[in-house]
Amino acid sequence: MGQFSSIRINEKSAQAWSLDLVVASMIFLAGIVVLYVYAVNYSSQTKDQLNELFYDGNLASQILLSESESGILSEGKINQTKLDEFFNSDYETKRKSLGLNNDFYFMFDGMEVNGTPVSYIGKINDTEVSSLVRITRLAVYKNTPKKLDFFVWNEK
Amino acid sequence: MNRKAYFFSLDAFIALLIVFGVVLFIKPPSSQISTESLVQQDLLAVLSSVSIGELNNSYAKQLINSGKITNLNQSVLEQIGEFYSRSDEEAGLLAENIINSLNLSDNIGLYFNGLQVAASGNASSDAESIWTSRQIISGIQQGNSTRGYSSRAFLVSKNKVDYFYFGGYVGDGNITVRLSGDVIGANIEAVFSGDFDIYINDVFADSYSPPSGIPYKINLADHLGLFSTGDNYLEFRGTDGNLYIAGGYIKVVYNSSELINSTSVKNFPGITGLINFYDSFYIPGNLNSMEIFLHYNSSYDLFLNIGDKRVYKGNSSGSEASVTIEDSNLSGILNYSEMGYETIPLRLGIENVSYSINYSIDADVFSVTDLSGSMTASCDGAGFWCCFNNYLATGDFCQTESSCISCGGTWEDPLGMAKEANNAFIDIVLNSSGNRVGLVGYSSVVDVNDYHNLSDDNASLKAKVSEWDAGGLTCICCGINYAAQKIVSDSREGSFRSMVVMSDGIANIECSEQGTGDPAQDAIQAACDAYTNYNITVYSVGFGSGADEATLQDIASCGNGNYYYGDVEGLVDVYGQIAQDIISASYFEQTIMGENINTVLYPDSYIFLDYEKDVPYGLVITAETPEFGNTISQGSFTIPNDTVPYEVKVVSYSGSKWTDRVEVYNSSSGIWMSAFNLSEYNLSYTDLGDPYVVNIPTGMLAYGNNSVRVSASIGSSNTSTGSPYDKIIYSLVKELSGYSPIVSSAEGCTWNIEFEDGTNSTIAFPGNYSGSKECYYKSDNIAYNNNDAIDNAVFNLLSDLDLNSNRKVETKFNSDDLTITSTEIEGIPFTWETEVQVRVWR
Repeated sequence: MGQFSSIRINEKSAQAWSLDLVVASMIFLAGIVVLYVYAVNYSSQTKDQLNELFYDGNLASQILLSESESGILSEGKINQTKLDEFFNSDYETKRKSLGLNNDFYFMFDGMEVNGTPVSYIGKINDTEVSSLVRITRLAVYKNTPKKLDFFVWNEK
Repeated sequence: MNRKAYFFSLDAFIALLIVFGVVLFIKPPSSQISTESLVQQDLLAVLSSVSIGELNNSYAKQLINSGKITNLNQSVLEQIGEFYSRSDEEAGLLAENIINSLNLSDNIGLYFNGLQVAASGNASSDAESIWTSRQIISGIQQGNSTRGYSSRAFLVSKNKVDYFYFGGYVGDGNITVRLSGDVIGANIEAVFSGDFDIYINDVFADSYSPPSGIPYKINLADHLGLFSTGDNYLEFRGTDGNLYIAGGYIKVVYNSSELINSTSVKNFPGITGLINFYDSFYIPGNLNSMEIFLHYNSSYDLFLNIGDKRVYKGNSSGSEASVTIEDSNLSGILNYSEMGYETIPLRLGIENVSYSINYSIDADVFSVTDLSGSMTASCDGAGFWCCFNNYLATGDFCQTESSCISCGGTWEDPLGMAKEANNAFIDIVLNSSGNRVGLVGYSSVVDVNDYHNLSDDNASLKAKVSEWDAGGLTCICCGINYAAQKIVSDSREGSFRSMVVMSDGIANIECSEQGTGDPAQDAIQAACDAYTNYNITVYSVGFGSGADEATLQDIASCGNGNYYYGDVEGLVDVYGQIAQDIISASYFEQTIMGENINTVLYPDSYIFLDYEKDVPYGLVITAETPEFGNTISQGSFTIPNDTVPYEVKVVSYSGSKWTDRVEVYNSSSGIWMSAFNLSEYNLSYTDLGDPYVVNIPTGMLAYGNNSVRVSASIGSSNTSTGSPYDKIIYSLVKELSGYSPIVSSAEGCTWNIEFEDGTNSTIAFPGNYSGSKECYYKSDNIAYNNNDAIDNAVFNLLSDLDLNSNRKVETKFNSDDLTITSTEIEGIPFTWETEVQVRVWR
């Protein structure tokens, strides 16, 4: 009888362990599934966002480096007057003229505006950036070929 | 126990936290994606938009300062292309310097036609993605120039070529021509009646002995120093009495840039002796007015007929007189409206003097031909053994042309050539109506079978010629005596009697009629007798190297004829020439036979013509056809499509006859159109002018080939063909500019040029060219540098000046006449092209 009781007690313990294993497996699998779903969704969303920024940025850089009214080129080179005018306009006007919904800035070495060196034109926010793309373009400024980096970004 | 049941769950939970923690830990703070590069297209735009001179790049400045870059206006890309085309390493160095200065994160390279010129970064062979932009640039190809030149060459009329045309007959006496201007060249071609001296500005130049009846050419190049600026007087003084010129011209080159205008002054030649002038003039438009000025001295009435109208008659009673016939008088006599585009006969002479104008006399002429054994065909130079073997095999002593040639010999057939020459002689003499020809063949004696009586039956005469055979000795006197006897018995009263005696050897049979005891002397005496007793002119021909020329010359001298020599090849021509001489000698229509008549026509006499004519723009190129060279007096010339015919003149050596008809034919008309017909004028020919020059109205001409034929006669009812020496002198207006395509250089060349007159010139174009390059425009060689713009332009100009495309230039010029412009052209549309690529790879 004692031996029999002992067996019954052991049977209960095994059932508990089995249940524990099943629960543990379910918890682990659920966690993995959640992690997978999150990872997949997060990645696609980010990629779409970046592609959109690149698309906007390409268009905006094309407009900027054109001889149109919104562009800063004349005869294939950066026109200082146009650059000054662009710089002097307010940020929202700049953004609209470039057809951007997102924020932007661009920079190239040796840039001067209104006779003063500037490091960039546009808007920079180091802390609030969610996504940022850089589009590298070339232009002639003061008869020197320059690399022009055009950034488009959006806030968190 | 229950605590243990939580173990796996707790463990899974912890594991899950760890997984989340790791995932969160390794997750990047931001996402990155790779997108297409735009740098490659920007680089092409950048390199194309900034000029190398403006480029703010120290290496480029260094190249400019060192002179390696000379064209500062071309783009950086073009400059790199120029270096590339020259295989200059600077192409890569400059491009790399610019690319590196950009500090690009991507790898980038510049390529020309797929060949890497410059690159920055890693090798493209490891790239996962490559973006390429392409651009085609023209005018660049490796090994070729990127700069081009175009040249234009054109002639400016710094020298003016003018012709003074003698009339159909200008005589009789000393003849003077006034040439006004700075004469730098003069050539004469004319038929003269006898020997003469030329004086230029009253200074003796030279003496000349022209042949009878044949155009004689004189180049006055050695006497140009006797000319002076202004009026010059060129005088022909006969050395055997009065001289006449039966057609001809003086071609004068003036140092003048005078343009074509719509007025014309026709100068009369000066005549000192007996004024006897037959000529014509042409009005190349609608006549507005005219004026005639005559400066003369004559005790006899001087008359001037224009067409069939007499516009002046008067005399100066032995003193000098100047007469101006005003337009008001002339317009009342002449019908101006009918004179435009017509060749008008012009006759100036004196009346009521004791001279006679004879009409033609018929010619009765015998051809006396040597048929001795030496005239037999033979083989010269054949191998003896060859002929000997032939003899053994066939019995042939090399006496046929084929066996002679097979034996390596030269077949000579004097009799055959004599027959051919006689046939030509018959054709020419009988071409003038009324003439007759007789034939005498002689050897040891005169065989009656070798004789043909005087006849105008061309076929019968030629049939007799064909029967002739050779053999026997040489009895020249026999032939002369027999022919003289037949002329005396058969010739017509008043006819021109003559004979042509031909021999290829030495007289070796005597004649009892002469009885000198020497065969040669008998022959000479026979000729003397013929002329002295029967007025028979004896011409003689020495044929071949064996002829006794001394005897034959004496025969001609005593027979009042001329001596001629002909070899086997030239005998036909000699007989043709003699036939012409005989025809000329049988006419005296235009020659005044008077003596001791002293009249003077001064060379400042003229006819002034004012007419309406459209003057075409361009350079006038004057060219001559060859002499017609045929007994039908027909020739042709071609008018190229890119020219405008300005003047077309037919020059007619009608001798003592009148040029009475000129007709023109072309495919446009399809018929022979009359350009001139003297018989339309209602006067005797002796009262009408005799054109030496007949202008063909340009309206009758067509582009392409035009044929012209000429006839001459002594009256409207008598006509015969013109002279084989007739030809056409035609002027075409052409807007001449030789352009070159755009090519890589413009240096020039020393040109060797052959002109239509047979002369050659070596001229450097441009004038300051001092290189060693030689170019050729000659009948046997065309050579020039096709990649030199100046050479191209000059060649194209020379081709334009070569109207008949025989590689001889019609218009003579020198380096001063030729203007060359050369333009350096950038951005040249060369046919070759190069693809430029910029590649970016990651």
